[in-house]
Amino acid sequence: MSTQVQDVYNTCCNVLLEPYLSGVAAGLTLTSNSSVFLDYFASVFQDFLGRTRLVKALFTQPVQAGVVDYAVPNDLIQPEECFLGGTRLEATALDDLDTYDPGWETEQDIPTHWRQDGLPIKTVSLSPIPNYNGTTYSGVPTATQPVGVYNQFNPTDNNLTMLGGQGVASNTWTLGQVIPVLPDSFTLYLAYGILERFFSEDGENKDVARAQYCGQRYLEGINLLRAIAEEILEE
Amino acid sequence: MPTFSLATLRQMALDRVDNNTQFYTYALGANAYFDIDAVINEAIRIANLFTGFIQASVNLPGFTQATTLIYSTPAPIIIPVRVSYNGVFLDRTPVARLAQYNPAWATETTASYGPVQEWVPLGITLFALHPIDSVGGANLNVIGVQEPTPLVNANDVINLPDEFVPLITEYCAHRLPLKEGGSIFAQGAQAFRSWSRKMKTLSRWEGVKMPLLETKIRQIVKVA
Repeated sequence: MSTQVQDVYNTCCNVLLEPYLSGVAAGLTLTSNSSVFLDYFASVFQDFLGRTRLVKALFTQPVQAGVVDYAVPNDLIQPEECFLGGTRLEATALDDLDTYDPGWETEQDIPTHWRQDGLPIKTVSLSPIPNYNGTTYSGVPTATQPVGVYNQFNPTDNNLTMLGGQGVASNTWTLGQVIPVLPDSFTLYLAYGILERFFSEDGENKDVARAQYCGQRYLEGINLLRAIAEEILEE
Repeated sequence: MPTFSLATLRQMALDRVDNNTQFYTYALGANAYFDIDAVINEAIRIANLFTGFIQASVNLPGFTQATTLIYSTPAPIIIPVRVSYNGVFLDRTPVARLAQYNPAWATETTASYGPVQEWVPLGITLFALHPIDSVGGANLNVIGVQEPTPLVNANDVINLPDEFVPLITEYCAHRLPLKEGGSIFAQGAQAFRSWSRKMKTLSRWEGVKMPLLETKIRQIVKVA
């Protein structure tokens, strides 16, 4: 990964006929501090990561007796699978739990299921209620970052592992930043997502045809990466 | 497989846009052809993502490690497609399926379960081996789609299959006029349609959906 945000900026400036010889420059569309571009970049990047999820991450956090709800870290987009000590937990929903296990809210045992519905954003819940403590890890939890380890199952710890698309914790960007997570070849589609927004603006840039083209090229990138995920990851 | 230099690809792309060097070249630093070079490299990257024509076979640095479950896909591979263990091909198994039918998969080792049989992709940057190599020191080879080396200097070369050369030039023919807009951009729809259909045919990924765009461009330009 070596593509910088500046490279995407240069591509957009070239199409918008904006100056971009070095750093940023005041033009018709982009202000001297390029804040509009960076806002669009943040939005498109998160959208692209969330819709492709070709790069995944694992996060393992300690299980605590009596605690059912566990936070998902900000840099994990959405859990797709959960494991307990390496053993897969079955995904379920509130309706299923209510239908097939009326006493689920008070049962205590080794968890066999997990769910995301009926919970705050970035939270998963285990069922039954854990009746043991898993191995603890060092660190102090915050409101958005639980204590845990990345890209390890640690099955003998008997802890909760989430597998999901890798995201980024921060939504603040500078032009000199290297674009994380995505391989360089994937980043070229970000420019089309950003250009679609510029050409859709209600102003001098408005160009319906080019907005449609850029939007469809962006969708092409998402479809391509989803097709790769279906074949390689069999999702 | 013929070899093409960046200078040759530049001229072939410019031939498709009426040799308009006034509008389709833009100097950045010492490179007088910065924007057309960027489009050529973009075309190569997209063709590689669709077809995987640039592949690499990479031995995992440091071999397998004893009791290690998860490994990182070695650079410069961006999409792993095949893994072999000491020269033996491993089956690819989704993690959900393996974990569903074999709950103890993450703790089984070659000492208790038998030889390494499967590789389990965890996205494109991580994969696991099942069962875990309890000894280590084995040769792990990953084959996959590689990141193309960008063409920077005029005499930089790339090997391209014969059928890819018109793909590169057709991509440039519709992509370069994007900054013009209007009817000039819309006239590139023919090149885009041709490129899109060829790419769909050559794609190695089943199920990829190409955008249905060119008719929309023509309708919009006609109304305007």
